Amino acid sequence: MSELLAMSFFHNALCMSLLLSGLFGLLSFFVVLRKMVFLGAGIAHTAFGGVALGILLGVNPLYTSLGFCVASAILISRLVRSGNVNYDTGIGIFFSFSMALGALLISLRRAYSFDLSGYLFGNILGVSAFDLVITCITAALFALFFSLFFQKLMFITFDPLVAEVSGIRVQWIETMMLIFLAVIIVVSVKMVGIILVSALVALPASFGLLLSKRYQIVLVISIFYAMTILIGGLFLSYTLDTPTGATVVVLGTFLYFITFIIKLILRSVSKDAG
Amino acid sequence: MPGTSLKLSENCEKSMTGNPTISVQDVSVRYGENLVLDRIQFDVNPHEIVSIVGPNGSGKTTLIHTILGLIEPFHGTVRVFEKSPQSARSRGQIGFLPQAIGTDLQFPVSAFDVVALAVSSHKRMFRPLSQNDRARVLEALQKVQMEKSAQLHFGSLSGGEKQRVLIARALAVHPKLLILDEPSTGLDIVAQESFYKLLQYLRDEEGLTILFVSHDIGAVSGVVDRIACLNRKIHFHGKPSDCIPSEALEAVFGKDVQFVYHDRHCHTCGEDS
Repeated sequence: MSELLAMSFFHNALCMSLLLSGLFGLLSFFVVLRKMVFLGAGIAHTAFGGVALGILLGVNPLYTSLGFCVASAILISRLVRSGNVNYDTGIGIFFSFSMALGALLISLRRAYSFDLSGYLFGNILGVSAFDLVITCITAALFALFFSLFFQKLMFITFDPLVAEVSGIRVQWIETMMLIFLAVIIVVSVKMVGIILVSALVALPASFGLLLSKRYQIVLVISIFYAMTILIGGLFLSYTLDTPTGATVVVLGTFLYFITFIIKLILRSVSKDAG
Repeated sequence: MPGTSLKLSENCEKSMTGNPTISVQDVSVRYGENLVLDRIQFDVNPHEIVSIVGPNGSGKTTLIHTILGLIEPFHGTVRVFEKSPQSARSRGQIGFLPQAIGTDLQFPVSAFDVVALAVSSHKRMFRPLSQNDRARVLEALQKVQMEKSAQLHFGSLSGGEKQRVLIARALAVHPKLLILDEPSTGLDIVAQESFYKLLQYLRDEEGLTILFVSHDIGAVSGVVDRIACLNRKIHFHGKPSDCIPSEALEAVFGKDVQFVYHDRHCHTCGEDS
């Protein structure tokens, strides 16, 4: 274990896990309660086109996927708001288009081989010091946004129409939230993988909601749950030599369903006793 | 001809004090090719309870959303407190109860939290509620007799209780105008009765102006000061005691519908005003 902790790539992955725990713990709460998990999945898949474009052009795929994801998040929300496109149709079209574009672009550079499975399912070796710096900046900006707008975000998530009537700039705050969703997904893709990152959007708050009906407690549980599965998954993936993202998601899903079943059993026991 | 369908009763004009709280002038709204509101013209005066009645699909919610400034009319103007609806909204002068909240009942908030959201959403930073804010939230819950349920999970409350908490949320910011979209939907007869009493209390004791939408003309006629019958156009606008012409009722609700009114002001409408 001490030998593992001494390795620099593992340090990077561990720091990344801690940062992502906070980010996904908080983000998940708003995305789950606003029923936007599918949008998260859509944005993540859009990253594939961006990654492929970056590789084709010889630039860091982080930049191109960031551009792709932020643009598609804004475009999808604009199209849906204008009433011209249905929410899940919009996401469905965008993400399959971007995946297809990615496949096309990769086929253009046949000679080049890159770690496709790492991008799709996550790889702890992929986390560089540069990725860590970008994630730190994202976390700092998100913390600032969150502390400035927490109450307004809560109101918008609970009841967007009345929030707007109350004078809150709903569209502006929602667009900012979507940009953060896109950026956080992109910075986590290397470690967790494009296909699996939406689990990190869905699971933490859903787990918190299993255990409490008070938002303050749900938020805290959500962050600790994300920390447990990210760091637990990291150690497990190293020990078992499995893809990091897949290990994190399987661990998280098991934890969720075990808790869900225990809750059901406890409820039926207390009903019988009553 | 514009405005021919409008019929303002003399009694209503007599009761006007100062400028109207809401003034809707010749407003038309279109969804694509579909004309949803056709040259609507009516006022709501200070300290009045006015109800817009009409069947489903008659444009009631569209009219409410236009008054709130959420929909831009393609013709005509809306003034709220003599300013644009957006300006009234940003100054916190309007309390609003929507037809249905688009939220998940799992949402982890108590009745207290729901009201507190409205009070604290205008703060700049994330900080705990002050003593003053807490008192304001509890005061709003007391007005709707929900203070004992303040700590209960919002999703676990009954339909009528949720309604009251959402009214408390609208009242907590101390608005001057309360707009309610189909507030009696889903309430049983007893809950409806107590809800209408609450509206009268808010008008008489708190001095609020109240505009609400209903599809049930019989139920509201004993409660409101004035009524506006809407079905794309306004077919009648006046006191419920002003014997609504049968042609107006037919135009709004169709020929096969019979009406039973509460007519408690009929003999005293002149004195009321």
